[in-house]
Amino acid sequence: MKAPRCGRSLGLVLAASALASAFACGGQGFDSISKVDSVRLFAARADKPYARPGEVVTLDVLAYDGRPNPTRPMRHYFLPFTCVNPPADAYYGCFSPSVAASPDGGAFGGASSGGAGAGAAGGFLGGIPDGTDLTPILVQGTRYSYRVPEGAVIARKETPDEPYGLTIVFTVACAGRVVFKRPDLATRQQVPLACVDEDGVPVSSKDYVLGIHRTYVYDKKRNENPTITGLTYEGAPVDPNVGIVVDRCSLTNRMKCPETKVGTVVPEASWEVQEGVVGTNGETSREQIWVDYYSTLGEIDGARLLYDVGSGAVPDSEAKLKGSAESGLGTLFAVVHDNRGGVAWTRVPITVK
Amino acid sequence: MGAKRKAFFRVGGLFPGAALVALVAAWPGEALAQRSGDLVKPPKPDETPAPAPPRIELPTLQKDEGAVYPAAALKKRGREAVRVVLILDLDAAGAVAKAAVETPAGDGFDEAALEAGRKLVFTPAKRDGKPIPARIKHVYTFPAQPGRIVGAVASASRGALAGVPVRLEGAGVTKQVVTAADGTFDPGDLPAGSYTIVVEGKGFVPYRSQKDIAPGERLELTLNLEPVVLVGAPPPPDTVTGPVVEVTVQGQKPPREVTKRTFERRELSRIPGTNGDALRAIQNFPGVARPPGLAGLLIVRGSAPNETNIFVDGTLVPLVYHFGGLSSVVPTEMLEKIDFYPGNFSSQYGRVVGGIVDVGLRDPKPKLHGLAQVDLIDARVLAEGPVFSTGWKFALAGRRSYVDVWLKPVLDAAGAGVTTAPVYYDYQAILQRDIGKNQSLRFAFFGSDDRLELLVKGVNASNPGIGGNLSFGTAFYRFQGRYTNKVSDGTELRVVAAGGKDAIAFQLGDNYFTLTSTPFTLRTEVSQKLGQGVRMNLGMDWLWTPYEIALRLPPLPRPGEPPGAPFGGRPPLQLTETGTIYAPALYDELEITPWRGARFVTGLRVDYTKSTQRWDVSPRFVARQDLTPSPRRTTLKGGVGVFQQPPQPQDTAARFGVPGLSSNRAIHYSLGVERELTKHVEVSLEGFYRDLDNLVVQRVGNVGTGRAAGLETLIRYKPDDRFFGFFAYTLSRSVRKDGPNEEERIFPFDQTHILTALGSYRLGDGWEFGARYRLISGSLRTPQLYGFYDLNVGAYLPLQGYPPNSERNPLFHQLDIRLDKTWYLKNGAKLGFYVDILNVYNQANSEGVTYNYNSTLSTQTNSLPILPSIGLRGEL
Repeated sequence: MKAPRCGRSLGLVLAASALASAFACGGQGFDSISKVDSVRLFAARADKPYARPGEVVTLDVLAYDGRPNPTRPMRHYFLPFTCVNPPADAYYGCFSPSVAASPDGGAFGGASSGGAGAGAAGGFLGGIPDGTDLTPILVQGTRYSYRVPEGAVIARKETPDEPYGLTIVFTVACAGRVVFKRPDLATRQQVPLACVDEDGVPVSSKDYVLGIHRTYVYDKKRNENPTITGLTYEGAPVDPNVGIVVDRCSLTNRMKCPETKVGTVVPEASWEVQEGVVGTNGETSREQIWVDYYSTLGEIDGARLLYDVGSGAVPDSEAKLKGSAESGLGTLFAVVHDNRGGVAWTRVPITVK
Repeated sequence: MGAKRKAFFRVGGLFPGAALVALVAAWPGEALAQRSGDLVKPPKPDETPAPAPPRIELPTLQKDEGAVYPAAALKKRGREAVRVVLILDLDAAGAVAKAAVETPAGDGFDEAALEAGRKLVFTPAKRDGKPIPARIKHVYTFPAQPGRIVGAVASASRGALAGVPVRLEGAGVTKQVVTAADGTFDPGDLPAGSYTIVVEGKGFVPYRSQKDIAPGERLELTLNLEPVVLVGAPPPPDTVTGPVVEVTVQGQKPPREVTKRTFERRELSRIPGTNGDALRAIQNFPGVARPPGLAGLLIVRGSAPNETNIFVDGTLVPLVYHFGGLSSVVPTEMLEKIDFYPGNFSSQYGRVVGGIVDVGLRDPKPKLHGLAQVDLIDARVLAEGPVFSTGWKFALAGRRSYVDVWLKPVLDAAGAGVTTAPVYYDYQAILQRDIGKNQSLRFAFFGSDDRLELLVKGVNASNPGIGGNLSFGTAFYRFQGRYTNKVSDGTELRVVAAGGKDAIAFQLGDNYFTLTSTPFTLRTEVSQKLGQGVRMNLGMDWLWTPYEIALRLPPLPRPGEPPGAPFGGRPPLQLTETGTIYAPALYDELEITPWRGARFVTGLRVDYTKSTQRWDVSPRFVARQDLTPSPRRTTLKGGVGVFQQPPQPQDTAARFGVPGLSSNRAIHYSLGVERELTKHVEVSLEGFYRDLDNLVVQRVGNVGTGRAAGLETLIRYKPDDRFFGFFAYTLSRSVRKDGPNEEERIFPFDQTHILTALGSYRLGDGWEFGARYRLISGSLRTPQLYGFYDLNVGAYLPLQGYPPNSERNPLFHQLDIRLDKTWYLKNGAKLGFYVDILNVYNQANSEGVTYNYNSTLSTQTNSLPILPSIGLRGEL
């Protein structure tokens, strides 16, 4: 037997992917994820990022229709059930009634509150013919609540010291009708929903987004959502009512346009200790916190790291912003995530003059 | 190279002309004497009494600096003696007043003779005691120019070999000398021509090679002898025909394996596109697929990289390339050879189902030698020589990269705060001595260290969990002891023991993986002659590795399973554990030579694995039969064998894996033919088939199966004084199945066509030019589709297309070239320069596809553009 080369190859793969992802992506002439020109989901905030059995969890979703000339209105829906502990924690297990119970003892089911029912999604959708309009049974809106089942926390073979539960909620932002679409081999991992127009033709990817939100359940662990105390622009606080004003940047002059800096202020109090997580240096780790930016006008870096797990607040964490070629009024979103499911967001107007 | 001279005298007065005519008439004819001392002859008596003739004294040669052999004529006429006759007019003082060629010889001989002739000094000719002018003939004879073959004889295990007979036969002469105490031999001048060099050291496979020496050429050879391990009839004299090259020739005996590819240092260090890195050169061998970019993966006959083991002189090493492929951990300068076994390998190797690479460190040289080299990646030094007069020899070498110098600014510009830019080291120390004639003891210490640390401030749109503090380090070292003893003519013992430490540490945010292990390995083999044509190799291969592992990582998906969430989006697996890998093995091989040209090797290997608590029994069989003898040898070869690879520790770990697993298993079949077309050109054709079963599928069990089949063609021009090269083509197919109810899928490392053509030619005057061309099927990839949005982390997750690896990148083709220049300085010192240019015509080869943030748009990701690399090397 060889020395445990798995670790080596794993480490190499992770390091390589980390480096590659960090430095190789984002180019290739593609629009950044921060450019908003379609139906978008930005985040879902659970009031309890780590829930406890029996608690009611309320989700707020930040959805936005960024299409410049929409022909159909976008609406946001929740599937009217909560998937609890699918096999192997795989989201697509929620839609496979034939999947045997996982070695972990995963099972569907649970109680709900605020939405429709909760339970085994596979069973719920199993008998529905392809193309069935689900809109009447979906929960429309951007808020959804459900109660975590009392027995949601189960022991896992892989993490015997820390049993947990998993609840999954599925959402869809759709400019059309939501229909059932049974996955085939090529889309066997897909959520079995499709967004179609009046004629039943699937709409383009700019007209819909499927969303998945997971809330982990622990008997004792807690996590709080981070807080945002404000944005900064060129180092100065941004008035939420006035927003950010940036100069227009013509297409022919983009290289010479000055880059301005946008920052998000997250107090250090949000940088919580991760209970039970000890780094390689023997010290208790804290959360990793980053911010995603989205804007309907201008160009802005997609995301920036705000707090590292070990070294804390990251210096020079502002994002670079350039004005768009066209002047106008838009919206800039800042969505802050921690690595334990905590989310906060804010939005300000952005004016390109 | 001076010419011999002869003078023919005609004495007379140049002034006046009448006297000259009279003298010439008095002594007509071609030659009066052969040497000046015989020149004075009395005139013939006349019938009629005549007046007393004048008393003539002929000039005698006083000074002759000799004629220099024209260098330009060496090649054309160096094998013949050339004669130039000069007509010299001497003045009354005996000096040469005028010189002319009587019979031109051409090719610079006339000029050389004239130049020498004008400098001749004679005592003047005299008539009746008075000096007079004279005209004489003077002949310069340029003899055929000899060559010289000198060198040293050594063995890998014993170093320099003293007292070994070296016989040179050819060009009508036979010379035999024995090597001196330092292994050197010098039979003196030899007529130019073709020679058979025969070295017959007791206990070693006879060495025989054909070499041509040109007039005036001095050929220096270092000949490495291979210990005899065959039982029974010694190999026929024509068994070993390896050509002698600049540095080392690997003595060869028929391999225990169906195919053993041994490449010499010159080949390995001169392959374009490898930056002179011998271990990277392995990736050009037949049956080895092209890894992406600069990755150092060894993909052998459709196997995964971790299904091939790499050894340094029989000691397993955890990694062979810095940073996964940048440069190998043992520099080329420290290598004796690389043995590569693509399949059906000997029973001495086990625990993998793919292939074997065994890297041989060379023994230190008996004379002081130093080397320094710098290129764009790293700098290295080496020193070696004797340890006073103790009989021990040492070698010390080290290398440090300075990638950090240029990569740190690049990373900083990319938004990463770099704490430790990527840097690597490696080091080697060797102490070796011979004990008597039959024993050798060697200690080696070698290791490697790679590390980087940075803070990634940017967050990736498709995987926001990647960011923050990133550190990565790998290190290993080994103390290795090797003892060889030729106990008797029929018995040999070889022991290699090693201990050391491996460490790997990876951290990304709050995820980490650290592994520290202290592996100890012991290999012992006794090779015993049992009778005529029968030898047994009995050996032990023992591995004991205590380890400590700590990790906090997201769970890896099963094959075909999509990631549940971006990195860090799922509750991580966390573990701190200590354990021991214990895997002893015994093997026995019987080498049988029942008749001339035949060779059968039957082997049986028994492995025990502590983690599975199972015994693996692996029988193997190899057969070779020479259909025609050398020098146009044709050999039919084939083999079948069982190869087993224990599951990885994480596969059987109670928490992550499936307890009760057994080893992965493969049956290798191969059948091929080798044919020597000429002294230097060899062709081989080999088909292989691998039947894999009982494969471990992560977190499922021993449910996987697979197969790989292919055809390998190699046309190889073995190194001669000028050229080496090969043309390799592999056609292969590799598929795997993750369970009885799963569909068969193409293995991710499958490459249908692999064509490599390379060659390197010495242009003369220290210049060498090489080129490599590759034409290879594109790598496989799994397409991505628009999927869904992960609301927890804020990233789109793509759907993985089905079936996996359903798309192939476009055909890869690339030309690389390399130019070397070596200046030979005084006292054996050398200064070298090279430029190695990757992707000369800047082909935009695709290495994959990059998608936009939601996988609705994609673009091709290209491999490296044209990339020159330069290096400088000095040797003393």
